[in-house]
Amino acid sequence: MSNLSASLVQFSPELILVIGAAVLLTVDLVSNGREAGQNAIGLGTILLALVATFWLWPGGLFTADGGLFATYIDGALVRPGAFVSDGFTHFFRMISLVSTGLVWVSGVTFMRGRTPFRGEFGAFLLFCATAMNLMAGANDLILVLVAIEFLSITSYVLTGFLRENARSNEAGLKYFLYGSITSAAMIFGLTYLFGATGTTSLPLIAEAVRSPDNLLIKDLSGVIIPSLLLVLAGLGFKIALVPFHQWAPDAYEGAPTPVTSFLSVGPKAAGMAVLLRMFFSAFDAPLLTPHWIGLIGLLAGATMILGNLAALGQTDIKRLMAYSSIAQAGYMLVGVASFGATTMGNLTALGTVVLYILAYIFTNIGLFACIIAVDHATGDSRVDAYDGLMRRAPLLAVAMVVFFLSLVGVPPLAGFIGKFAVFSAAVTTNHTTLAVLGVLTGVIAAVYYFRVVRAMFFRPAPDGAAPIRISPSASFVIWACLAMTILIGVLPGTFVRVARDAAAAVHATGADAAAVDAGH
Amino acid sequence: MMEMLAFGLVAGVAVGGAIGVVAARNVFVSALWLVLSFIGVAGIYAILGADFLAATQVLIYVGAISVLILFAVMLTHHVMGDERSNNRQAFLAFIVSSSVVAALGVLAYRTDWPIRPADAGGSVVTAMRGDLAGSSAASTAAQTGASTALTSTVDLALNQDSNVVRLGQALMTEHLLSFEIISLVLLVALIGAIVIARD
Repeated sequence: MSNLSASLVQFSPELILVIGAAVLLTVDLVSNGREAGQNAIGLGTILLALVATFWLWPGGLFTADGGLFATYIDGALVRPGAFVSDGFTHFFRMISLVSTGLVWVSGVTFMRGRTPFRGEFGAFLLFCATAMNLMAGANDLILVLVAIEFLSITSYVLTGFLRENARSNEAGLKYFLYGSITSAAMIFGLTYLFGATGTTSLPLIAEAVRSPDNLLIKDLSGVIIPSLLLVLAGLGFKIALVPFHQWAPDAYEGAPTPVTSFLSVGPKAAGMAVLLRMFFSAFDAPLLTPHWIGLIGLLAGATMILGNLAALGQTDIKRLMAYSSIAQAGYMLVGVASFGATTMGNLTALGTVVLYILAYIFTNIGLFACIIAVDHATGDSRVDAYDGLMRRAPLLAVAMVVFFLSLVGVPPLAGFIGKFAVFSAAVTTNHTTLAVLGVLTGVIAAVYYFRVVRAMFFRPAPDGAAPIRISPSASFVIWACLAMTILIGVLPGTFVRVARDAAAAVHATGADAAAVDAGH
Repeated sequence: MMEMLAFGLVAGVAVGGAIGVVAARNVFVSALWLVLSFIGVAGIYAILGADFLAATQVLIYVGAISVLILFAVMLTHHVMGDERSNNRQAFLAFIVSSSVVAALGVLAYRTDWPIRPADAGGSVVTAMRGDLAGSSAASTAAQTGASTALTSTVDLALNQDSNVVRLGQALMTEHLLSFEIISLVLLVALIGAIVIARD
């Protein structure tokens, strides 16, 4: 096997990230607490990894060789590798790197002075990006598990990073306890899956559940579906789906605000990537698919309803955004439940979810950049702290309105494109109930977002409140996210094409590859 | 028959130890029960023919990790006393968790788990031994009936090696990446512990 060097090249984004994190830790060690170029090292690393991703992207079908670390005997592929570096992986690598970078920039001023461990904070963000990249390309249950644990442990520490802050400690502990239990459930589910199919490799699982003359599946669908439910507990925890969402409000509220911003985008997108690859490539079999579509549809409905209703009563904006991001995960699941759909611009169901994530990431990071700026200036994250924000910081107030509108799904903003794609996919596969539910709960979302808007525009600022100064780094993130939110909404063509190509990589290994071929 | 007896014994030790962990009032005593549970699990590995795994279980979990937990408990003063770790929801939690366990147990018992055709001559234990090494290439090839000739050569090659050899091969080939990532996870956990706990 001479594909080791080729493998390393395919791993360049992750290698760059790990090396960058090591350099950051070392520099932090010798620089004696000064912030000696840490931002330059960290952001340079992320940028370099992003360049490597874009460089790898065009030749992105390493699946043909069976992925990385595949096993060959006499030149024949016996076991596909644990990691694939295809278009889908590259897309989620980009999502992971861009969101980590934006969170880093928006949180730089906030973390300064709040923790003495800034070097470690940066290194942990880089490790998070590494873990999310690995989740994006994981093609083997063991790597899936290891990557999820990697991301989990790193995020627990980030959540409890402010040691002097009891709230942050509590948030970290709750996140940790909840995560440990869902991980245990997921591992148990994976053992059943292994027992039923005899393998941990996703392509081989796909083969095992799909082969028509395979007697296994007839007896074993009874065990695979319960094991999928257990796996969904682990993934649902990362994505914050409804029965597994209880940690989110507490963790979001207590975590340092930049970490809250990160939790609402990074782990959610990476968890979705794993879920999409698992369900659309490995568990797509005539006897299985209808079962899990029903299951996902139920979760989607519950997540949209409960997430939006619970957000109504919140008085803290971080808790409000926690429930809002739970609801957003529900909208993404509507796309997953629309499996088999082909909708606008030849997007498949998978493509609509990918497009939704793309639109959601920029909107949410932008919104959180505003929340970080307000929190940094006032030290307060209650909705009341936003009274009269229009007078104190017009840029923040206006930007937040745009981001809220995008989250509600008002044209011509990014969120509208995402929701339109997902709901039209739902309608074409006769999931009209889900689409209607999505639109109705969107109205509820408008109600609680409007409470913040009312505070910003129609309530007077407290007496003697000074104007809020926005750091250049924060305003860069806000402007960049505003630009992307509007760009995706106004010129969706390019982004639809990107989403379609990312989805095609998974479809190429899935059973409904024909649907994609028919589309082209 | 002997196998069943031995299994009953070690399974009893493992489950009994686990019950002791949650039932004990004192955290220190809980940690001691945990040691017993670890030993029971090592016994299960030994019965399944995973001798290397059993040995590492004793060395690492019984030997190192338990001692570490005991140290941590002793160094943390205020958890040394008797402290109830139950609350009013204990009964509800017991009902929910025992019904989940029962459901999963019934599922595991009633499912006709596939046994590899290649091992048809041997007992269930030998079949499971084959899968334990993590090398499922042969088993899947056999299940899907992709290539019978290939399967038999692979099986032959694999079955001649000992457990340790196959475990090592699996870690250095198909699971190399996971193996490397685990070391990163440990590094992150180490730094995280320092950041959170250092005075």
